[in-house]
Amino acid sequence: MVSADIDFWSRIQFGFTVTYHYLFPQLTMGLALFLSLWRLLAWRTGQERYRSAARFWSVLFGLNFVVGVVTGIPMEFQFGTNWGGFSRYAGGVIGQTLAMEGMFAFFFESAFIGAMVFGEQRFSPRALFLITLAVFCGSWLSGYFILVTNAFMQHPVGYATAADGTLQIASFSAYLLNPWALIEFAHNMTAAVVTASFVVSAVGAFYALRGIFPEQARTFLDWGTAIGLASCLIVAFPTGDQQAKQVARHQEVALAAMEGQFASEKGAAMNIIGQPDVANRRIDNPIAMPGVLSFLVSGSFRTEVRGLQAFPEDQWPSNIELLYYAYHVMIGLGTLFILVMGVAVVQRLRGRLMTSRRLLWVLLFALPFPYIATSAGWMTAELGRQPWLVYGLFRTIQGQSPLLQSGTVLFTLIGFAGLYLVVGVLYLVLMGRLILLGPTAIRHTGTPETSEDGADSTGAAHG
Amino acid sequence: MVELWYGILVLMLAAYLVLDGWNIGCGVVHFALSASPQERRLNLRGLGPSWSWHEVWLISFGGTLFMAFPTVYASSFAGFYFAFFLVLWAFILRGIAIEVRNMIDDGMWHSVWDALFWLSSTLLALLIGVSAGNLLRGVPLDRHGDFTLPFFTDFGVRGAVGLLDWFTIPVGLFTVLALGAHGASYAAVHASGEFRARATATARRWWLAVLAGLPVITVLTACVRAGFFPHLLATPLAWPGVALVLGGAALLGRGLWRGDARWLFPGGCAVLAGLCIAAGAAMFPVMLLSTTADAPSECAQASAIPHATLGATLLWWGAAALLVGGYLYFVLRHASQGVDAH
Repeated sequence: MVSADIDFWSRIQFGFTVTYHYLFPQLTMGLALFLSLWRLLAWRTGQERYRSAARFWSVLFGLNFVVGVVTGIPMEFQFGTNWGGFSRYAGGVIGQTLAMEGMFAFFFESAFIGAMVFGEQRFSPRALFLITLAVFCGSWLSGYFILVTNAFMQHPVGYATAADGTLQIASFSAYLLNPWALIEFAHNMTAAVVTASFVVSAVGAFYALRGIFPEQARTFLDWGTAIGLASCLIVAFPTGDQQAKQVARHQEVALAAMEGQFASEKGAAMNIIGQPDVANRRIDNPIAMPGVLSFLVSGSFRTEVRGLQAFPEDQWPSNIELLYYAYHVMIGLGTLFILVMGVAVVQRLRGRLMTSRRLLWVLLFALPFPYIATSAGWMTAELGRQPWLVYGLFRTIQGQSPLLQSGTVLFTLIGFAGLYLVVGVLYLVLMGRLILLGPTAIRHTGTPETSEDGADSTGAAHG
Repeated sequence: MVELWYGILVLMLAAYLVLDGWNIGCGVVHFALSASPQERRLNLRGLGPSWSWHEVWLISFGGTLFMAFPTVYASSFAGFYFAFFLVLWAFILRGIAIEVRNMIDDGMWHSVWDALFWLSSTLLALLIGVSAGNLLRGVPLDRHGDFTLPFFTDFGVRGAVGLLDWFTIPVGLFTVLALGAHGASYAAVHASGEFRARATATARRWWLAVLAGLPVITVLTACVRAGFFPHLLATPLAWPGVALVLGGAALLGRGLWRGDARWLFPGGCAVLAGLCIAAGAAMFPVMLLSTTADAPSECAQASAIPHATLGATLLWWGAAALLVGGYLYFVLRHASQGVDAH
């Protein structure tokens, strides 16, 4: 009944819907940090520019949040609709964190988001800070529960196998404090801050290039590039470095595939450029840094790294080329991000950021790249996990809902693609419109001013 | 322990039905209620930012079902494949419609989103009702406890059934009516002036239709599921649900008599919650009733994770519930002054 075909379409469907969904939470989670900081400063210093920044980005946050919520529900459904085999097998464990996410994080986040976006006039600056902090905690907590769930699939701990062959939770603390989850959380949340930094900087750069809203442009650029440089450094070191080391520790074969390392060798090189040629077991036209892979894995340039050929082929990740490219795109972009943000911070310290037009253009056009890097990073994690659904225990091919047909999955996949295209166009149009209207058009009630509401325009003026 | 978790799930679903019920209901009566685009704007504004919070009740219900009864979760979500994907798409459309309708001030823009808000909400209400009807009637389980539901087969209620039949279609329509009435009385309580009068009138008409439909659904349910009402009467935990329905109906009667939505709204909340609780208790311990001869029904005890885990889970779940109650109090205290402030 279960064919490779349905496995393929179900994977594409989940991969597509989850990647699309995650475009929104990564900005929400990163922005929540910015908003909390700005609300804190607005409360402590009383400066209008922080209030204005927090008010403006809260509204953008609200739109993002909604799209994140509506595109997130499909994930929870799909565990049952498409991955019934997996849900039966591992539900006794991963059901815990999915339930926790709803009970602890979603209720918390969604109870306060209304107050954060619409509550400017009703709450004191201190209360606004606390409300924003609550949204921040809720969104990051939600991220933690999801990452614990993912970490269990990457590196299962804290479980026991029941008599009927299903997994049941054996230790809550081992499961919730999975070392994989801790590192993954640090790496992933820093990446979310990177995304938000680039978005905030890009809006600042846009205003600066147009010569509009100069005050806000300066605030966005100052904060976007400062937090941007810090997060770009942390996402690479120590969190990215630790993530690579734990992949090397627990998913040796995945690391070999990520790096395109076919043969085992001492002093393995790290490929910067090159295409994996799986049929001939080699990298075509590589440009490599000798010894660096060994160093990355162990801290010594001479250590032996086991290549793909040291493992049976039925344990190799099922799409080595894609895994290799995804990983290299992430690493390459991450390095460029440090460079861009580094230059921006230097210019800022020299007081020239607002007038460096070329740099501002770079910051503006950098906008999509953190999204690409994050998506590539997640592709690396999930493709590297293959052919396992729960690493070493349960293969992806076993995870399907037994009565499902591949045409049915393809049908719903196309439905999602069509609907998400509409959602994406709407999102871009509305975000673009809010950004063009600019920070001064956002009223204290958290809605843009329109002619219908024209009577109440005083809020923006005295702000 | 299994009973407790089943009860928690039923209560979460009842909370969802009441809370998001009025959001969905406002969508169902979006045009019936409002004579002009300005009133439709008021109707949407009346929902406030809390609708996503209400939707979280369903998400948390799903998570808790997955946690406590993974087998039922897996077979039911896969079995209701098309219905649930339609629910998902309707949820996406509805959420987008609520949020973006008032973001651009343009007549045609408003018209598009008004229509989509109505359409997606009505589809949601219908699908919720049809799904409930399917749970009451039973599903065509196979020997492994799996099933798959086509949209319809022969519209019969035995053997190889489909999503739609002579029982589930009336239940679906009844749900559209009930949620629509609930939404109208919500709008009536939260609005003012001329709009309030129209909403109250709509709520009266719709609740009258619901009260007329309730005996029909009761008789149909007795025909489809023979043991349902005897079991309902023999299960003490179902009695509060029945009491809620009766009490709610009394409030509704008073509200209808006086034409006052302040009685209709709590009455509707009680009836909806009561129906959910009574039906949930009367079905226990069967979670998925089998309509076929070759497979037994799926029961709560067999699907639940081990008792020790359920007990341990209760610790964190209780803590979380207390937390939710705590800040809910804080938020509601402020939100009550809220909605019509802008």
